[in-house]
Amino acid sequence: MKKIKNGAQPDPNGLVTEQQPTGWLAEMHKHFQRTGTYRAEDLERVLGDPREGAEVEATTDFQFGSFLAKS
Amino acid sequence: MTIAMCSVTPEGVVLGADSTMSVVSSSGFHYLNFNQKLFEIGDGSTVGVVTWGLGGLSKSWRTLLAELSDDFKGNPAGTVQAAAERWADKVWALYTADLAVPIQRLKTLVGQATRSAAEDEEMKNLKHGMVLGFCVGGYMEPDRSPKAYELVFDPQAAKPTPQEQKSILKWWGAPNPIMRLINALDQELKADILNSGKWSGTPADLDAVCQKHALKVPILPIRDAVDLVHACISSTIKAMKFSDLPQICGGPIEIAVITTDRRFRWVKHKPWDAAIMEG
Repeated sequence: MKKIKNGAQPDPNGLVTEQQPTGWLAEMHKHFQRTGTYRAEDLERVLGDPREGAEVEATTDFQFGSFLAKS
Repeated sequence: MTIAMCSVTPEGVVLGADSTMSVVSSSGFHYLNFNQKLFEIGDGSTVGVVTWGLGGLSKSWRTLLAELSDDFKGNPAGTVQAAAERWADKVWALYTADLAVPIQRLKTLVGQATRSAAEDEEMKNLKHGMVLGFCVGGYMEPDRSPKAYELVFDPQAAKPTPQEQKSILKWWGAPNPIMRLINALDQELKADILNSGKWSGTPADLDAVCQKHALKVPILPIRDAVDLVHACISSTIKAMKFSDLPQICGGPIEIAVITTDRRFRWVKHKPWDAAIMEG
């Protein structure tokens, strides 16, 4: 097992350290660095539309089991 | 922003929310983690309210709901839907008065034939920043049927009418993390896939693929519904914590239950020294 020095996580393939955000993600980070805030459109893209909820219907695939043990 | 949830089961209604309030100062976002978003209407009642979106108006939700409760003493609501309608009336009056200037500004920006980049960003921020939602849930004697109604105040729309929740679980504010967890896909991601040029099927085809991987939720015993609401709120908070997403949901998770044989009860409620104990 590789030792971790100074609390740093090993990243031999550069998956974390070398992947730079692009497009709207890069713009989101730039905007945050510049202003300390996130644009409404970025929050909506990442987290969802505040005007719309999301919901899940109960499935009918389940049935209440009997309290009686099956023989 | 918020993660707010409501579960309607045959045994009652479960309401839940996080406690973070995001405020914008000259130095950027600032997060206060002990805000109250879940309320009982009055004391010893059978109806509760959870809120998301806009953090407040010139009167606190607490004060407005206490006034609503006072109104109910002389003129009972009769049904949960009627309680939601009267709450909508009360909030709408203040919403349109307090936000008259920014609502007019938004109308002006929307009506402009062309907008600068700054105006476009201002318009988008106004569109989203003034969205305010409530879910009013519980039961109203003599009818002990559990009900929940959604109200969304949109600066571009008229006064909302209560929409009854027909599903076992509904959530608002920052819905995407749980959308992905339960439904395998959120709307933005779906749109990106469909617009990528790499999807040769129809939108319905994509829905069908996701449906195979969706988690199925049965009708739950009320304590399991409490667990589901808690798990979803906690997962949303952790999704932000363990990513580079802004921590716009967080703080203590609050949950209340209104079973059809009892009145409003807290399952998890932060004590009054919660903010002191944090530091």
